[in-house]
Amino acid sequence: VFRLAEARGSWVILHFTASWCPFCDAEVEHLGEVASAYQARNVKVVLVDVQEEQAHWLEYAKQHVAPEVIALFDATGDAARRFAPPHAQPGFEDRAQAIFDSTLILDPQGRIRLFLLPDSRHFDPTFAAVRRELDGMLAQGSGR
Amino acid sequence: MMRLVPVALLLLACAHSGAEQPDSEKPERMLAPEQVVRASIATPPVVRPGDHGELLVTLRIASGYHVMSNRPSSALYIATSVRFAAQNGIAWGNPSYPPPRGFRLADETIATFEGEVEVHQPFEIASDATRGRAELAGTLEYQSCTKTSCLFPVKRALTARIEIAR
Repeated sequence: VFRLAEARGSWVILHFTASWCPFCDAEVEHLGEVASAYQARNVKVVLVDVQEEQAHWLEYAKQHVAPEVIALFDATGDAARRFAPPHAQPGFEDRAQAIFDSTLILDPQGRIRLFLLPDSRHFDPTFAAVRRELDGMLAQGSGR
Repeated sequence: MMRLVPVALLLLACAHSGAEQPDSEKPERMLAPEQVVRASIATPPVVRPGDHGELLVTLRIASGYHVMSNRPSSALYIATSVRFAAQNGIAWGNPSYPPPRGFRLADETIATFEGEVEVHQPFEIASDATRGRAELAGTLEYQSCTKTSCLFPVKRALTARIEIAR
């Protein structure tokens, strides 16, 4: 069990994924690069796998997720659902789908500072927008 | 199962407040995963014991979406599949799928289906098959994406009916 409270005092990039998702798979490698690039700046990168078989995810994580990334497993999707914005993609009965492939930035106080739902018009596996926003936040300090 | 702190949830309202986005920047409303593919099944009107035949399963994939092909580009991806369950009096052959279409994703091209996809499912009626109406139970599996994001995998029931002549 991992609680985000354990990461208080650090910036956190939180991303939701699954191994069967081609877009997510393309992002995972770059998420490792993000984790490496920001590790020394007190940024933790947390990757949450949503609703797939545990053994499958563990094997995937072993092979594809960089050790700098905290790889977590959300078997039922309940953790993901807690973050799903109530009005985003209302057609999704399973609210875990509404958060899937989203990226959040939390500040050292645990507050959500950036919430990026999947972009329906552009795909950028390098997390360039996240890095840009994070750079700005880090330059401003903890956001107290 | 992992748990995440609830404090973040309380702050969502703040994260989502703000000025209205212009329409050109609003995210497109997406279909639920179950709505992306509509399936229909055509069957021969009547079959007889000993006959060979086929079901034609037509998958209509919503515009702007694609699904992984029956032979996906990676073992990680979820293949589109049509399967009918074994039952007395009917032997199933291997279904045939159309050639995939390439979808460009980052540095690779992945094998997908788009638009209308016809899956041919051959069968043979046993010579001692029970006459009358038979209900054929199958499953359809797929995993769909738009050009920028993906939806959860779907597995749902298919049903076809055939009349085995007396």
